[in-house]
Amino acid sequence: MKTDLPNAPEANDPLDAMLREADGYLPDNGFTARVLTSLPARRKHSWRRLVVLSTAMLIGTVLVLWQLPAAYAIFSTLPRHWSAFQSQTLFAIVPLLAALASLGWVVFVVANEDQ
Amino acid sequence: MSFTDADLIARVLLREDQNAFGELVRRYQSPVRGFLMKMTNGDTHLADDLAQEAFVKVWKKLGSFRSEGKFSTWLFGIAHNEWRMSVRGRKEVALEDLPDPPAEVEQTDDAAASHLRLDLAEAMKVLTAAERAAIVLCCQNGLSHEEAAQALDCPLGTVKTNVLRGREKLRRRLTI
Repeated sequence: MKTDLPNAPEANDPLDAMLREADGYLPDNGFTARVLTSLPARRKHSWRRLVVLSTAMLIGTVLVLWQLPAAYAIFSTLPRHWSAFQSQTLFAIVPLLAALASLGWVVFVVANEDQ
Repeated sequence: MSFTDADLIARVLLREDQNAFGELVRRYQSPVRGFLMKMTNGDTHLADDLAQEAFVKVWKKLGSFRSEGKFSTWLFGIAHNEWRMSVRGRKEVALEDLPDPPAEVEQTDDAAASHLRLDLAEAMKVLTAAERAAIVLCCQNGLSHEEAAQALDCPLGTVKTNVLRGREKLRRRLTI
């Protein structure tokens, strides 16, 4: 490759000459073709994933915003009415938790997209 | 017309151009396979398998390549990582734990053996894996010490030491 480097081999050093000689070009012999045939579909369905993730993100955000006042009301009265914690209350919290989970899932998927 | 690495990478990222990626593979297959061949002590099949895995990984992760660095440095880093994982996968010792070669290899460097010129491939086996990696990247592939440190994911001082030690061992082994 390049030779204008701080640690560039010395022209008269027999070891460097030997190392350079030994580093001959390896013929391709079908290697590139094998690599290309083994490539996974990199972004083939990226538009579909984008739509799914965006929709999930949108639904999650709407649900969170929609449930936020109710959730605030529930949580603020929870200590006082803990004994009266009923299925109705749980029913109000579940969508909020689902929305938060969907947001978390989107973040997780996007963060791990390239791995 | 010859495209730069950056041109080819842009084409892969923007157009998913497999021909552009193929050109990158053609361009770098020889140094990467050569590097892995030396790291696997001449096991060509394993080296080619690892090189193939490395290029597939490059294809998958090309979006995370930072253009301020050299593509070859990044690529050698991935190839080295593939080799390291294969070593771990085979339950062999990790790179930093690799012991020096058996003492008898060093002991043959006496007057009687001084006339015997071993070829470089054999002499390279005297080196530890870390020394071999540093020598191959810096002395054969023209990477700077900084680039080699980046590719091998180790401190700069370690690379410099490994290059010096490796060269010294090769000199003794090759009697030059």
